[in-house]
Amino acid sequence: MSQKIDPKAQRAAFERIVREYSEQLYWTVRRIVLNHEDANDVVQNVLMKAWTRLDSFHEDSKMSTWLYRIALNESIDFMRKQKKQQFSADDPSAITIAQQLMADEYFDGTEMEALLHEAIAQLPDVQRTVFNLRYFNELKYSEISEMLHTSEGSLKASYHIAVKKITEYLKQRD
Amino acid sequence: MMDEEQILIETFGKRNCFKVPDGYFEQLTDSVMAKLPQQPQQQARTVVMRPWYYAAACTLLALVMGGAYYFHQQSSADMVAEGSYYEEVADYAMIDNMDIYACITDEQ
Repeated sequence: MSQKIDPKAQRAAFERIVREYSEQLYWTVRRIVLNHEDANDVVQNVLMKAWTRLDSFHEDSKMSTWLYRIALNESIDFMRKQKKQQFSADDPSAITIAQQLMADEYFDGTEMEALLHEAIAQLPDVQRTVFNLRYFNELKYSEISEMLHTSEGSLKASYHIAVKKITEYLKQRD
Repeated sequence: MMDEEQILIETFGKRNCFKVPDGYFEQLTDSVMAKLPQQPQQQARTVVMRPWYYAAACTLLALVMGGAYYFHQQSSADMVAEGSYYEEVADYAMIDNMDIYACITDEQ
């Protein structure tokens, strides 16, 4: 059986973890879910889950890898729930993701950058996640492999396909 | 590096174009810590019995089962013994089964 840990010490240690990792977790989540309020909700859920599952962290992976894994799962779950609630793509009154971003007070990009994020948002959830981690986070395939429990070969293929799809989408919108 | 990837990087870059409200990250930690339950939930743990606990449990079980078997045998033996007693009596009294039956039913 595990040794008893002083609850105050455990809480203090967790607070240090939150201070160290919350910002990088936030930006990873934000690039996936796009909206600040949604990213805030997801990150708070991620850190709550990390706290309740602290016993399951076995130190066979880095703390950052463990946290990222929770964050990516939560982000993917969020996107799946969001898709069920979204209006049909055929709805003529629906505004595009690029238009939503340009209207968002917490988006500071150009129309081109908004269009890139719209193209990324068209990808299947896991492919979108892989693209973001490789392109924006500039993570190595070995690091992404540990987070997503997917082989490096599959990740390279996924990224390659994602780049092609984004390029095609942007050409069509040009 | 793929040509298409290079084109994306040259055209769009990798700039972080998202913003957060002022002071968001400064208050994020405090906000999270305020919502945490007092202690992490303890996951259900598998209790691993020490070897000698396990041996003692097996021994006790064996004793109980052995005892149950022994007493079962004893009661069977008693029933057999009782039956053979009546036979001895019947032999000694030189009475046959019909007489014993008649005695029991009180028809004589």
